Amino acid sequence: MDEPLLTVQGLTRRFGGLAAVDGLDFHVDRGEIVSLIGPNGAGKTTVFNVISGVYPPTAGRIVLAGKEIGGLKPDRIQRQGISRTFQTLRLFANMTVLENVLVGYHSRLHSTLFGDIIKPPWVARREREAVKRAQALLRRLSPRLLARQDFRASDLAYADRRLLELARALIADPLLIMLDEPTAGMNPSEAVEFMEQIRKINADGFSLLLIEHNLNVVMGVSQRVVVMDYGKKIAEGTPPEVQHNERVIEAYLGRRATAAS
Amino acid sequence: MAAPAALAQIQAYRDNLWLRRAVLFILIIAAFLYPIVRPGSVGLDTANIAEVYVLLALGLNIVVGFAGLLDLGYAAFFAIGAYSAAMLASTQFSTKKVILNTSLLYIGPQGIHLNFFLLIPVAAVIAALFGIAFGAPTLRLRGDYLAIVTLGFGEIVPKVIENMGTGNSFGLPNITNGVNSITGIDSPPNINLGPLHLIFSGNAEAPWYYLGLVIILISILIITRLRNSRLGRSWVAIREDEVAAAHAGINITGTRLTAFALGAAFSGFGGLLEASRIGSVSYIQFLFTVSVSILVMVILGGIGSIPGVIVGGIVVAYLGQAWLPSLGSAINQFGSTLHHHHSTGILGAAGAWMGGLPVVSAEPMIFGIILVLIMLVRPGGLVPERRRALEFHPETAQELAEEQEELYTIRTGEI
Amino acid sequence: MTVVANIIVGGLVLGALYAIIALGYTMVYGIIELINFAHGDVFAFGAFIAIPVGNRLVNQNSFTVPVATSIIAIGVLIIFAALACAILGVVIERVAYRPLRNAPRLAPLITAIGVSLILENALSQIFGGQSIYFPVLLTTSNYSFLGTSISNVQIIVVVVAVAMMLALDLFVNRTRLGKAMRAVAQDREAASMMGINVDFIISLTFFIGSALAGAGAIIYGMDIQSIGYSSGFTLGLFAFTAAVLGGIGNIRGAMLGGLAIGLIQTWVDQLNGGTAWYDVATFVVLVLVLVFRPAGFLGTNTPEKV
Repeated sequence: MDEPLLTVQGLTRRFGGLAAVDGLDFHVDRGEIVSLIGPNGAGKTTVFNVISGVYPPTAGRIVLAGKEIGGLKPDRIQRQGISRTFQTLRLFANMTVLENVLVGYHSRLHSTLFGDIIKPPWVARREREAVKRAQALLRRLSPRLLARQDFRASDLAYADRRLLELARALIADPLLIMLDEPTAGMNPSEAVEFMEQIRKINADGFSLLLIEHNLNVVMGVSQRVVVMDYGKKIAEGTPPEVQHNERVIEAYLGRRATAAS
Repeated sequence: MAAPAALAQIQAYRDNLWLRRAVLFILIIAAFLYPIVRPGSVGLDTANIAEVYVLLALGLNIVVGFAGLLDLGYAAFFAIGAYSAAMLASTQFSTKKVILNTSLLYIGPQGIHLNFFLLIPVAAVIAALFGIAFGAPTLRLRGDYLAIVTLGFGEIVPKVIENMGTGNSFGLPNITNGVNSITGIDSPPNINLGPLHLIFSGNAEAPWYYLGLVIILISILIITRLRNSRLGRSWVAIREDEVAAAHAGINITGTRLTAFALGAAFSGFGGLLEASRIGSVSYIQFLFTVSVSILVMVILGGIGSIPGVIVGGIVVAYLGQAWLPSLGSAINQFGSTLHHHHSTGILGAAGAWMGGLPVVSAEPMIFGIILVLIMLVRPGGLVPERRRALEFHPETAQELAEEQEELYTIRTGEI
Repeated sequence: MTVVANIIVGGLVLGALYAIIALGYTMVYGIIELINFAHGDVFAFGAFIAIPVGNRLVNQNSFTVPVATSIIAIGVLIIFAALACAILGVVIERVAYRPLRNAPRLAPLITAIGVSLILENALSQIFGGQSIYFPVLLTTSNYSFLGTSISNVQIIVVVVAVAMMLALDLFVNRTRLGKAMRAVAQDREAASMMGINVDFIISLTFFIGSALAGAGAIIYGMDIQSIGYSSGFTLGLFAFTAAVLGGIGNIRGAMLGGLAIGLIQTWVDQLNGGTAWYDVATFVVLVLVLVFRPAGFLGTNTPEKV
């Protein structure tokens, strides 16, 4: 496949007079892990929010596997094949681990109102298969999580909760998974574990778009890095290329630092 | 600490499937035996009222309890169900010539008469359609705004019914008989199947009781299935975190609309049962106070809890029909005898006050106190639903979780 | 032409009344995002308890009142009702809403309904189920205006409403306490971290909103001259609609919205002559506003942070 999986073209999102995202172009190829980095306030989460449908773009295009998805609602975008996790970690706190993952499978588990009420054998079978699928995914990601499948999500340890959010995003076999600061709040060993998870997922064939502040993670897993500042792309390339880019360094350390010198 | 121990006990009861099934079986048998054990039209009359309340509470529970939408105008669907019955099974709409004369449906000079058992799904569907019509534009509003809007619907529907009688300001023909009630609503056909003899045409209350009981049992079955299905899961997900639910592929408005329409459908059942049993309907039966009572049933019984709202419906019915009047006359009688024996002084004054105390009309205040107390002291209701019980008591949930984690690590030796 | 003039005058006066009640709703919603269903009943409470006091201050058998008595009676009653309602409002907040500040959104809404039921029934039990009459506090005199007549009472209603709005606006925008209220409305946690006593500010909001309702109740009584135990709730709903129409949380919006609802209702009422469709019309307006422009005239849409 020569065509990129996800193409973002001239993406702009304004809030009042402020352009949080301004004319952004980038793409994600199939099987790639791309990281989106930049100082705080650069607009990275806004990019995610526009792609995942939280709000529509003010201008620009978003194309997923040849289809225009700009402006669609989140549930339709999920059904087109993009899943995401959230910076603030949004789990269904009072549902069990298993239930959380099953909700992620919602769009693939077909059911009708009558089917739900009458519950013929094939509906029951589909439900059982969904449970097995969820358990298999949990086993692959983390046997710890599988063992705690009946725990309430809010009772899990923090790193487990992040993993659960990931599982929920994965179960519907999305084309692209967007992770918004997945290692935020993790200690270094947890972050390393998580990097392994990301590589495993990628090896299974999923494409990933990451927002990350932890540069070790970024450098460790990404094939390409896109750098944003003030809503615009200021650099793009492989991790080492970006690491030594002057504009990137300036953006992170601040103009004050260079001006003061 | 008593709380986690008690909660764990409830948990154990809930986890013991056979125990639950046994209790359920006994309750159902008891319900069927009730008219035999306590015959007499007064007792059964209250029971029949309770049955309608239970149906309404079950329906509102889907909207408020499962989907988390505060509906303050639920009586509107109750009215629609009842009036559908009134229009399709009475002499309200008569044509000059006989259009149709089959055993299931008659349309002619004697009105429209649809067979009762066909009317059950029809009334439900009509109510559900209205639910969709009201919900489609409004269900994407935030909780508090939705509450006010539903309150508005609850006010508008009886108002419209009141004003669609003869000589109405729309220039339409008499549709709802306006301020007058529609009378002469059909009863179900008498059932004579083998040993089963249910005569609806007479004055007996027992046949209605059994009919209502069967409808309720089927409703419980349907609602339980819904709760445990993919749809039920999506309702909980939306309640927990709407944004995350949407990103998991759930169509928020559509799922809410389904809950709203289903809730309306059960109200339709209730309305049909009520209209048919009493034989007449009037818009006065469906004012805001009725919506409030149904809400009280759900909150008092246990929001989101199927056994809870059943208890709530029964309690509110008996409160209004039996307990408050009895309490009222007891207090009044005590008061007048007290005053009789002590015509002056403090006792005399107290007696006079108690003698004239209007207890029954204080029902709204009692409802208000119930709502406030439940929310402050026991938000899960009398019979809380498991998830919510933990939601409202995070400290207990925390303890339970730590217990759980401890047990797990001990069992597996893992850390 | 007189019909239009009547609608304008009637709508203006009615709108001013709604605006007064709407101020309390919009303030409370702005600060804790709660529709205080009991607010309308607090308003009614103000009117009800003012009646026996008022009956002692003026001669109940006469329609003319000496000017001095008018001034004293109105002044005393306004202060009395404002205080009584303010205390009631603060008590309600303390007992029924504050414990639920961190509970799911449904919970305080339900207690609000509960409080409303309690208040209404209490009023009904104490004062009876019929509407009762407000004592006449002012000798009415009519003036010609736009081809129709307007009474001094009606002028007072409008003047008081505008004065309240201006005073409140000034308070919220120019004083330290007002700034604290705005801060709490924007971000409760941040405000408390800045050293603002959030509990006090919220209680103050209820105090002021309820006091305004109490004063408004006297003005209402002077104009409409009777009140029933359920009037408060209905008026409250219309006032809330007005607040939403103008932009919930916005003081000037409450004024604007009140005016709009007053005009709409007066217009609808004289359309059908007799049939009371104005409440249906008001709810239709509410639904339309919430569906098409939930921010109202002057409000701003605050999207949720994802």
